[in-house]
Amino acid sequence: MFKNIKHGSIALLRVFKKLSRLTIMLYVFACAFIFIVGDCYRAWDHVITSTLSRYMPSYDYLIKFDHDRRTFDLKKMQEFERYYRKVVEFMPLLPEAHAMLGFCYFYNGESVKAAKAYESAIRLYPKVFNFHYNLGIIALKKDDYVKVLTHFKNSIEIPPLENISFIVATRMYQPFLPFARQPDTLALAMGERTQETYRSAYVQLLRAAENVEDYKSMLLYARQGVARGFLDKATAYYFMGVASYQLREYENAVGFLQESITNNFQYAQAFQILALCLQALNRPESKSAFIAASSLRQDGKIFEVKEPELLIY
Amino acid sequence: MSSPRKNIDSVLIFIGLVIILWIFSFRVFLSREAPLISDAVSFYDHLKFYIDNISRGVYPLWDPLWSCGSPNEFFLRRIGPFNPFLLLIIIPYKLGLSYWVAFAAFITFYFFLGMIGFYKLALEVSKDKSLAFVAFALLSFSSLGTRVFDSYLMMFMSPMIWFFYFLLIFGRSGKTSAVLGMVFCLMLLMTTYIPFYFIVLFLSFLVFYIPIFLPETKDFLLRLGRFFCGHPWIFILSLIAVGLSCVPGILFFKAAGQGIFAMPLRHFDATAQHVLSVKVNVTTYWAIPEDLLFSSFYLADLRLFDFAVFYIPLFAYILILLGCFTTINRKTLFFFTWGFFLFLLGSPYLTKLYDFLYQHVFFLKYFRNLHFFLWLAILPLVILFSVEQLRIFSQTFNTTNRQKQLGLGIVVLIHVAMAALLLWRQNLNISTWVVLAVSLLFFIMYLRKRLNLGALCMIYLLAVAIEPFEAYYHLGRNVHKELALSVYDQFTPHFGYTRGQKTVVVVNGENQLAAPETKSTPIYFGTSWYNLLWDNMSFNVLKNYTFNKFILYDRVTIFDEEKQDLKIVERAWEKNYNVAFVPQGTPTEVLAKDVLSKSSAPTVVVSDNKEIQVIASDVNNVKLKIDLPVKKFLVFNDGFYPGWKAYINGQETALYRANVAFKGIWVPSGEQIVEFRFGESWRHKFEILLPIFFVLFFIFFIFIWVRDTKINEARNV
Repeated sequence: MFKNIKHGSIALLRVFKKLSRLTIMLYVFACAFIFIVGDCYRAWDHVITSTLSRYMPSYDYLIKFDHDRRTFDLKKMQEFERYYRKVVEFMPLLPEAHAMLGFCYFYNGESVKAAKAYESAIRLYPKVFNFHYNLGIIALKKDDYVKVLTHFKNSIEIPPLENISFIVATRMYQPFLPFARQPDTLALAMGERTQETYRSAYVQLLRAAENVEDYKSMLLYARQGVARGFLDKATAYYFMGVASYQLREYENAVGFLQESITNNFQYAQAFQILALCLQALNRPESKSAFIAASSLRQDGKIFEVKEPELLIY
Repeated sequence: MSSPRKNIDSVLIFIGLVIILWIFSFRVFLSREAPLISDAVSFYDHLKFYIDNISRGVYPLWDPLWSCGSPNEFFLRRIGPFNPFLLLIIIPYKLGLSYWVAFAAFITFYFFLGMIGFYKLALEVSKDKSLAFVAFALLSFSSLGTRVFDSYLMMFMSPMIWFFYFLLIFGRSGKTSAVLGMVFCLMLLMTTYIPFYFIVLFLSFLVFYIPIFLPETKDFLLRLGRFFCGHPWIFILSLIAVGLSCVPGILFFKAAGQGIFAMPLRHFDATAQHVLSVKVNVTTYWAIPEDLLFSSFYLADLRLFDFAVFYIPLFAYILILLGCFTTINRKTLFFFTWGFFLFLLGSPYLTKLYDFLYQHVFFLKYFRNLHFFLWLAILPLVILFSVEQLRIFSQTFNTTNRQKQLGLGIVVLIHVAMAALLLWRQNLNISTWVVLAVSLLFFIMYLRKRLNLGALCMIYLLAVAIEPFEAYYHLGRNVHKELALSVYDQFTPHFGYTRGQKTVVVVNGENQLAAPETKSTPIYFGTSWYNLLWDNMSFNVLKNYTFNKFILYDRVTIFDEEKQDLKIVERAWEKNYNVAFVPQGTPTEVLAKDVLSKSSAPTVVVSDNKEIQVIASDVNNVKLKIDLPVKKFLVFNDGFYPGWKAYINGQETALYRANVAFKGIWVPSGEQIVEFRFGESWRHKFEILLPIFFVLFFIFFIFIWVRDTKINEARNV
């Protein structure tokens, strides 16, 4: 046995001696030197940060696009997509990087990839409003109202202050933040934006609930929206009226719709549904409601919700 | 076996083909359809400025176009003004050829001068024309070629390559021409850009060369000693030549130490007081690993190819992989260890090497582009290393049939591994896959039968050039084709009373004015006083004030240099008050009691008139005929700087720093000839004589080289 070990060792030494003459040993030595002597983590961190900073396209275009979606430029958006793909590749634990990549994918016509990117962002950090909101928008474009309902429901459950804290603390969003250096104006601007985006989320949620015929949820979220101050009474009562009508609770529906109209919801749909409710209750006022609905329709006063766009933050 | 003459011709033909292909690849840039970018723009501008003046017999020590007037020495150091090859621009330009055509021809020539030097160096290293051709093709088609259009790297890389070539030649043959060649290259390196890059490379070369090639080093030193003892006058001439070459750099370095000019972007918060020094975190922010990682983002899809992307044709990597199966020799050990050292030096966050050297080696504080070592040294070393792998591989595996079969197996394995790597990197480039196929075919043919030199060069050319052809095609497409004609492009020797020439942008063949300049960054270079104004004054006020070059004031007042309250000056300029600001100690003939009080406006001179006429001017000098009814204070809104002198009727007069950063003198009433002159007369003479010395030395060197070549040929016959 010892003879075999001895022969084996000699053979191994011979192989090693032959190998050590090969140029590959220089490569091995260099790699070993770097990994043993070098501070690879520190170097890698710095290399990634510097390189990604240099690779980053100018944010001017995205800021302009955020303000006016008509300025879409496919080439520039593709440039940003490449950039965020690199950020995700080298910093996979940054949820905002996944979200920005999803944003770029969506506008480059790849909504499936966009949805996956937002899902990755949510897995990393679920308490960000725009991650869920944007997933909802993506589902809305595909008319998948079940998912729309789920995503917008998740979005409105994010406490606004937690959302704002994340946005303000995230370096990637800094170029987009209005008056980022002045705390007072930033707080005001973020407050206004929160109001606007949460309202939009509630409206989309209510429309989605209507589409899937979940009228009880409609009533619940409309009430909640008003209570939280994100939905105006006019809009909330309109949706409550629609829900009650569908649930054949005509008396309640009439009450809600009248409240809505009084709060300035002067749209044809409100009068139409009111008329239908009154008709169901055999009340003579239904005729005038129908006439009002028709007249408003002719005047173009129709309740329309603007096609929502993805949010950057 | 073909004759040596036929072999020379074959290689020359293929070298010519490489040049033609390269020119074709970069035609978009050479034809000026796409503009130069980054540092190449200022190189172009300052070279043009230099040539416009030197061709009129004026050595431009001063640049009135830059930052309202700045010393030109910094930009002259960057372009290497004593380089005799600049005559290749000056002569055709003077004969009527457009500057751009002359410039494009020059940069192409200079690039290939360096590449030919690399060919000759590789030939001396490998002793094989086909391998030297591969090295030449790999370097020519690497992205080093793109640096011609975005930097001035080649201005000191070409002489560096030739320096090492002559060093090697002298080591082997002891020829006089080799010594003169080395000296001439040193002269160019000392007078172009920052010589510290070369010094670092040369010193590190010695550190690795000497222990590995100790016997050759001993021979070299003995040979050098014997040569200089046998040729004392060449020794003295060499010392004088190198010494004189160092003078402009030393003078500039001294001036930089006095803090009279500013380079805020470079010098930002440097711990050393010297203006040229760079803080360590500025240097280490972007180094070799960053350059490599950045470049890797572009290589998987060549459609995205851009400038500053480090790229070597795929064939080089295949040759490097051959190293897994070839034996080490002294050459590969030397190339590898030297290159690895430079990599570590240029990776400041990986080891403490750079920090240590920065603290203990003074000149490391004076350059900031660590990634330059990647282009200047590591790139050629990698190519020489890879070519050496090919040589060892062909020696080892191209002998017996068994070895050839083994070699074939290794080649197939390497190509399969490379294909797997390309697939993993999701490489989309068709040309890359074509090169892989061509490379595999080449090795199969190479191992199965002998190929003549012509066939070898042809296949090498295909294997090397296909991929970069695609890369540079996309580069030409990706670049913004908006050409901007700067004030240097529009330079005229005639004196202009106003400063406000705007950059012209050429769009679809039509000239349009560029968007108005805005103050977005600190100045790059200027007098320290101008920098003070730039940093602390409203941009529009400064721009409006400096629009006019001559302003006559009735009164002066003291500007408190300690408080440096520039708001007072700003207000005076905005409101057009008739008072100039001078430092403490300046005679205030008419002292303004209340600086801010309303009074008559100063006289702004917008053209020749009966009071002021410019009778002669060049960039270093302005001569005026002034006829004033009363004594006035003339402010010349051109940077104040030591070296400027003022004369009235031939007599030197006191020149003051007026309005913080500009020149001012009291002009008596009556007709006077006033002259502003920059630079000592000895300095002008020296700067004119030095290029002449360079040209004469170069002619002498060429004469000796031709003589040595003829002697060599006669010996061979």
